[in-house]
Formats: sequence, C-alpha cells, structure tokens
Amino acid sequence: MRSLTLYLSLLAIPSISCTEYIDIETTDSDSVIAIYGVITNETAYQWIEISRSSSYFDTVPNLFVTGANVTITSLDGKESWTLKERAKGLYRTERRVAGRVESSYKLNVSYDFNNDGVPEEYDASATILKPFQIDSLKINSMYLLGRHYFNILLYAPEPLGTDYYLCKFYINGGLATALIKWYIVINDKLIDGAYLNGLLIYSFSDQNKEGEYDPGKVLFVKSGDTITVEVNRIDKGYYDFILQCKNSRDGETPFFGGPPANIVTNFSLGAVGYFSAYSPARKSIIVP
Amino acid sequence: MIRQKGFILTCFLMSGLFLYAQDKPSEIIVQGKISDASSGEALSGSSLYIVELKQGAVAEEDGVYRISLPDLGIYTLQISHIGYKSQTIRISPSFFQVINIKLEGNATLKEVVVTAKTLNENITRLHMGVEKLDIIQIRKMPAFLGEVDIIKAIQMLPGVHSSVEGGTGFIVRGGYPDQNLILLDNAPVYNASHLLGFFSVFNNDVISGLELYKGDLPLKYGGRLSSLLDIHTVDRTTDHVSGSGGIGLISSRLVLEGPLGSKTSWLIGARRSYADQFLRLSNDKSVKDLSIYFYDLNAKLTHRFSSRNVLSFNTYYGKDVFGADIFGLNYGNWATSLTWNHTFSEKVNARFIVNKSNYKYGLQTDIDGATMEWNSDIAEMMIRSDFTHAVNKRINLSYGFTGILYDFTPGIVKTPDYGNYILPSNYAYENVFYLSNDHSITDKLTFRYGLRWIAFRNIGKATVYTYTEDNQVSDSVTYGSGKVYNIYNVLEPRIGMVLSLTKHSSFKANFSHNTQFMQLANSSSSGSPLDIWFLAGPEIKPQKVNIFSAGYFLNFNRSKLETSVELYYKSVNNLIDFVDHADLVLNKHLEKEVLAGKGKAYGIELMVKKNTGQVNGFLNYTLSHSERTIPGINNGKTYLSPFDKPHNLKILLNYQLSSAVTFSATWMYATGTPATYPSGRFKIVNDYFPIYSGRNDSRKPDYHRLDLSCTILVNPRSAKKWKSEWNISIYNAYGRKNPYMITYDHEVAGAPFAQSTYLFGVIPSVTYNFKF
Repeated sequence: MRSLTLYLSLLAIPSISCTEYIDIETTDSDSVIAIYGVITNETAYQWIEISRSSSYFDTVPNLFVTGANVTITSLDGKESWTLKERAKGLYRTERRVAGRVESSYKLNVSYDFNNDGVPEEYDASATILKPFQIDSLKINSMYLLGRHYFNILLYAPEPLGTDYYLCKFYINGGLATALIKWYIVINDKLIDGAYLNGLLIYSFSDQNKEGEYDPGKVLFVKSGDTITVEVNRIDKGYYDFILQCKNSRDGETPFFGGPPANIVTNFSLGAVGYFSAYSPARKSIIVP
Repeated sequence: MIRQKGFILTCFLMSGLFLYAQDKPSEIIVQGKISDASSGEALSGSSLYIVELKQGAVAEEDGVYRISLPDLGIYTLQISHIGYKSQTIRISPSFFQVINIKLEGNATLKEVVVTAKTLNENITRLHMGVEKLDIIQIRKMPAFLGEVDIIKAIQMLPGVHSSVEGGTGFIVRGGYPDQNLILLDNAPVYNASHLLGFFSVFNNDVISGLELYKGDLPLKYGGRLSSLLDIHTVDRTTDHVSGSGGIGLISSRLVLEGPLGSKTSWLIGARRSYADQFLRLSNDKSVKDLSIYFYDLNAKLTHRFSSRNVLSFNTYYGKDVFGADIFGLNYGNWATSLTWNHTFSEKVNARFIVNKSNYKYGLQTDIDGATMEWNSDIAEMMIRSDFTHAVNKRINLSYGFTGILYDFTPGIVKTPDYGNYILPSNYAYENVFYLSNDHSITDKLTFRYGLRWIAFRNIGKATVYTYTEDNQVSDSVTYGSGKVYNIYNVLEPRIGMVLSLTKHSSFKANFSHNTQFMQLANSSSSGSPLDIWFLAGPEIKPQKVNIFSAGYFLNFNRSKLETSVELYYKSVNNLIDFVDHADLVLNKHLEKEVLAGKGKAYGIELMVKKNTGQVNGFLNYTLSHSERTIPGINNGKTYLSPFDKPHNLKILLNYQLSSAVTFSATWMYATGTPATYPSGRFKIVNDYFPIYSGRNDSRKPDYHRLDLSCTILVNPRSAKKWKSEWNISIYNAYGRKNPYMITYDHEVAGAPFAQSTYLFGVIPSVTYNFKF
C-alpha cells in the first residue's frame, strides 16, 4: 500500500508546474516542550532528547532544554533508570541497559518549563511488543519510468490481529534512514495473518545511475553494498506519530492527506513528541 | 433544403385529440416547438406575445411553448428571439392546436448574445439563483489548452468558483464540491473531470446548453445541498447528415448527427486526447513510456412516434487512463437514460425516465512483491415520472415520483499472495414524491410552492458496527439481503415568489430546504479520482440546509443591459467533515472518521450584463462568507470553510471586430483560499516538524488571472456547407504564479523556508473548429 503513494506521486503533478520561494506570514504560538525517545530491548545506552519549540521560520536553532530530571521506570517496578544530561538537551541512561519484551515503561520528565517555580511533570508510557520474525530477504531489479531501482522483498509470517511496523534500513552498517522522513511504516490491513511472500517494503535507487536522481530526495545503494533491514513491531500510537510526521513535514499535498493538523503525542500537559519502545528484528542482504 | 424568404408555418391537427377532449373547451390551448429554421435547433427562451390579450409566454428548455386562449377567435401572435428575425402570425385555433414555428437567424449577427435569450426573461422567470448558458456563449470564452470547458465557463457566473486550480470540483455559494448534482440529460454524473480536473467530461459539440440552479432547485430534483447543474445534449431534427468538431493541441472531437427515416434522429460524438503521443517523442526516459489520455463517447437516438409521443435514448461513456510500465490507473463514468415524453391532453404532459449512472475506477500495479488490483464501483439506477398539469390560467401543477437504487462497491483489492480485501458494499433505496404549484396570484405576483417527501432506506446485505467512546468496535449486527435496517423520512418544502414591479424590474424571494444523502470521503483540498462516495446510514445522518435568498432584478434599455443583486443565507445541519489525519483509504469503518456539525454561508452577488452591441459582456462581484463549527475539529471553534473566498470578481468582455473576428477576454480575481500555516516547530531526530494553532486561520495569496482569445471565422460569407473557425487562446496571459500548494523545506542545518508550487505559466493554444 505504501508503494501506492510512491507511484501516484510520480504522476500527480505534471511536469509543467514550477516551484519558487515564497514569504508567508505566520502567527506564532507559545513555545512548548518537545520530548522524543525510543527504548529497545538491546543492551545499550538509551537516549531521550528534549528541546523547546520555536516559531516555524525562526533562523535561530531551537533551544535545548537543560537541567531536566528524566527517569524511565518499568510499570512492574523492576527497573528504574535515571537519565543524565550527556550533551545539551540529550539525556542518557547512566549505564547500558535493556528493556524487556512485553514490559511497559513510563518516561517522566520533570522540568519547570514555564519558569513559575514549580516543575511540570511530563509523562508518557510505552510497551515493548513481541519482536517480529524475519525469515529472509530478497532483492529484485525494477525499472520504472526509465529509472532503475533495487526492491527489497520480505519473507516472514504476519501475526493475526491488527499490527503496525516501523522499518529502518542500514547500508554497510550505517543508518541510511536517519531522518524520520525516510522511515517506513506499515499497517497490516491487506496482509493480516498471511505469510508475507516477498512483500515489497522499499525501493532504493541505483547509485550507479546517480546522475538522474535528486540525492536529497531518494536513498541510493549500489551493487556490493550490504543492506540491513530492521523491522520493529510498534503500537498504533507510534505508527500514527511517524506517519503524521512524514506527511506533515513538507506541508500540504493536495491530493493526499487532509488539512494540516497537529501531530499526535503520547505526552501529557501539551508536550509534543513521542516516547516509544520496541524490539528490533534485523536481517541483512548484499545487493547483487 | 429550401431556405430563404418568408416564413414557414406548419400546423398539425390532432386527430386523436377527441380521446382526451372535453365536451366544450373552457379554454383553447395552443402549443408547439420553436426552432431554428436552418439547423432545427430548439430555441429555448423564445418570447411569444398575444397582441389581443396583451399577454406573453416563454418557450421552455426544449423550445416548447404553451399558451391558453379564452375563446375561439382570431389572434395575432408575435414570436421573437434575440439573434433571430421576429415573426408575426395570425391564428384561429380550434380548441387544441399544435403550431411549430421556425425562426430565421439574423443575417448580420451584429448583436452577439451573451446571456438570457429573451427580453426580460431574467425578470420574469420563476426560479431564483439560476444561471443559463448556451453553447454559443460558452464557446466564445477563452479556451484552456484548446477546449472551452463547461465547468470552467460556469465558474465565471456569480456565486460559483473553482475549488483548486485544475481541481475536480466547483463551489456554489459557500458549499463544497460534493454538494453539486450534475445531470447529463437527466442521468447523474459523479465525477465530471478528466486529467485530474483540467478538463470536464462534456464534449462541447454534443452540448446545447445548461442551467445552473444555485440552491433553489426545481422541485422535481434534489439530493444535493448546493446546486443542480442540468446539462442538455443537442435536440435537433435534421433531414440530412451534419457534423461538427474541432482539432486542438491536446484533444480533438467530432460529432455526427442525422435522420433515420422521417421520424428518427441520431447523434454520435467522440473526443480523445493525445498529448501523451507527444511525450513519446521525448528523449527523457521518465516520460517516454507514460500513457496519459482520456476519451468520451456520446450517443443519442430519438424517435418521434407522433407529436404526442417521443422516445429518446441517451448515453455517455468516458474514461481516463494513466499508465507507466508496471502501473496503471483508469477511471470513468457511464450515464444512460431512456425517456418517454407523452402528451396526455392539452393540460397534462408527462415524461417517464429510466436511467443508470455509474462511476468506476481501477488501479493496478504489476511489481513483484506489490502486485495488486484495486477496483471501486458506485452505481445508481433510477426510474422517474414527472407530470406537468396546467389546471387553469393561474395554477400550474408539477408532480411526480422518483425511485433510486444505490449500489456502492467502495473498494475491492485483490493481491495474488494475500487474498482479497473487500470493503463491504453499501445499498440504499430512495423514493421521492413531489408536488408543486406555480400559482399566479395576480398578473404581477406569482408564487411557487411545493413539497418533496423522501424516504431513504439503507438495505442489506450489510454489517452495522457500534463503537465505544474511544472508537473501538463494541458490537456488530449483520442484515440479510434486501432487509431495511434504517430509514430517514424527510420533508423538503420550497417556496418562492416573483413580484413584477414594472415591466423591467422584479423582486424575488425564495426559501428552500435541501437534504443530501451521499457525500465524498475526501478531506484533501483537491479532489482525487480515487475519492469514494458514501451513503447516509445509522451512524451518519443526512446533511440538511435551509437556504433563504432574495433578489432585485432591473433591466435597462429594453433588456440590452441587465442588472441584478441577489442575497443568500444558508444554514447547514449535520454538515460532514473528517477527523484530523482521517484515514479514508480502504477503511472498513469509515464512520469513525466522520464528524458532523453546523455550517453557515451568506453573501451578496452583484451583476451587470450588456447583451447587445459590438462590445458586450458581463461583470459580476460576489462578497461572501462561509464557515463551519464542528465538535472535534479546531477544538470545536468555528473555522472558515475550505474554499471561503470573500471577494470574487469576474469580468467577461467580447469585442466583435468584424463579421469574421471576435476577441474575448476574461479576468477573474478572488481572495486566496484559507490555509493552515504552522504557528511553531519542534525539532526531533535532526528535523523540524510543524505545530498548528488552528485550522484555516491564514490565507494563500490572492488569485487572479487574465485569459484572452481570438476567434477567426474562415470565409464567413461563403455559401459552402463546410464552415470553420480558428480559435487562438492564451490562458493566464500575464503569467500570474497563482500558488497551487505551499510546501516547506530546509537546507541541512538551515532554517525552514516556504515554497509555492504553481501549475501554469502562460499557456497559449490553437484550435480549429468546423461544422458541416
């Protein structure tokens, strides 16, 4: 279904349209706190980033939030981690820790955002769902409108019930889908409970033909690269969050998506951002 | 065929009349059809004047008129129509007579008609908020890519504007694109657009004209809140094969019509675009294999059993095709109607219609790992009967019945590996009875009042879900095939009046209550051909509107100059909108995404039209406001409707330089549509994301555009059968970069900036039109 948007968007705006810079006036709302972090069941430092929102076209980078008290506790009380500020606005667990599958965790950020002497308590919860099982991967060649792509096909059983997934991709060990706009999110509407028999989950452009593509807009691979696919089972809230981030980032698209609206959050007290948790499943394949 | 001098008078005596006759007629009825002497085309809006009675009448849409005379005697009848030589005939009818009249065109054609074919017709006609356009007027407007389009032409009328540039819909008086009922010869057309809205599905050579009713719909029609666009195909009797067509840069069209024996006439029309053939010549591989085209087919067959019985069959079929290598999309309409017109007596006429309409789309991908086929099909089948009954000189009744069966298959996705994903079908049955009366209280005051009674029933096979507070499915009930599981009974009263103040001025007022049982699941600013219509049901109440309008109409200098001011106020209940980030694609629980609330729209429309002279045209200006208040959207606060445009100014000017050359220009100006701009941003994972404070709380830049065209008749004085003209148009003559969408981006480690994408620069085009 995700590929649908890709192909339709290729045809949606005819090549006679043009784009140019425009000045628009916006009214600015009050600053709010932005909190984001994901914990996994892999033993590692777990990170949370906290900053202040700003006006949309502000040329000054967003201000970090320093000096907040950040803790993550499991709902069954067995774990409690304090996160210390490691760099401006970046808070990290003191030691390498791992979440447990099927456990729920609560993030608490205590910070006096509005400077009234009383710290606000921003809370959010997340549960690590059972990991997805990847059987194998395959790479196919595809030609579309004169361009060459490497398609990643997934072989795996899809569990019965409503599920959502977040996919990330690494190329030669480095995270290629570093920005949220590259993340792939999938719902199981059409595939629920089926065996995924080579489901197409991503199309990488062929780097050997780089001259034809806009490097800011597509991801490239070339023959010999190792692609690692990471599939994470997530809940509906985080799925909605990532999808809305991807759709909202560039502003409106007249054909798809409705009028702009605020991105969902699982924080209390008007904070923006998201706190999520999952258990990664990975498999690698070499581009032929 | 013999043309020229004098006039041709044809009389038919109705031998079968005595079957319906009364012993002694209380009145004498004279009726017939007024048409063009050379083309046979019906001349709707022709004026008739009975000198002895100082009484007038107007011919209807199909050129048919009816007058009643109090007694036997000799009467002088004057028939006139702008652009034609008037005729005076003396008649001495016996109690029921059919007299068909053929008028000859004015040789010089110095007076180019822009609107309202009769003198004072805008003053006297009973409906308010209705605009008429015939194909001659539409053709004179500047073309876009070679085709003057009906949907673009109506956007020049007061109270009407486009949704987005190139969009699939139009807005009438603060409404929404799915609130307009579009009929082609009485069959509904669901998606009247080709190429994502750049062209409409109507082939100009097949169309004779249209009426746009802006809210005050004739009582026999209903089902949409904002308007009725009633489009008619040509209705000519010819005795030889003739045709017309055009060749343009993007598409070409051809229409042929002719007789089949003495009582039958036929018409076929076709149109196809071929711009994608030019793409094949390109070296750019990204467009070389692209298929983009559309086509339209029209066919019509009319058989006149007698002047009392006419049977006609009309059909339209069209399609858009997009394709590239492993991907294909096609969509299109099929609309067909079979109509029997029958005259029972001098007082009673009826028509019986069966029609079927459907809109389908299909999407196919053929890629390993993502192969699928997605189809959607919505259809309606309708039978209707409409009676007009002239009870006496003061009372004219219309009544009838409509039965519609809706059969919506919103979506089926088939994949080779994962089975079929099926959105359950939706069925409903709607029946309508209506009765209305055009009541002439005095010579100056006429009332039109009536009632529609609608019973809308949702029928199985269906599964109805109930939801908990937080939108989880709590229960479901399945109903068997044909079982009624929900009924809405609705009464729609409508009342209007016309008060003639002087011979050249009138005051009109109107109230109407309209209901809508189906709407588009689409929350984007531009429509898309993949939008689906969904029906009212247990969870979704029908949308309703109360419309009040009033107007003052004043003509000057024997209708050479027409002016009017119309005001309207609309109040909508159960107005439908969708939740933030609504999931409208292949959703089995669409009702969870729907929110309902209230809407309000009001405005004032001013118009000045010059109908005659070497320079003619119109200017209209609308000041309006449209807003919504829906719990769950914008925190329940009132927000502007998506296409609210407070100022809307449209000017059309025609200049007839000579008998061969006409220049035409249109200029339109509208306030920019509401937009939602971010009021802040937050940064996560090295990227910026927007924060919003409200909905539709800002505006895009204002929209304005100038279009120019020049029409050159080839050898206008030639007596040859082949007539042709060249039309050269420039769309957006001064290249205004009207924003189509505003998007954001930022350089790595830079601040975000906004970009405007505009669709069209200056676009010239050339078309060659012909007629034989």
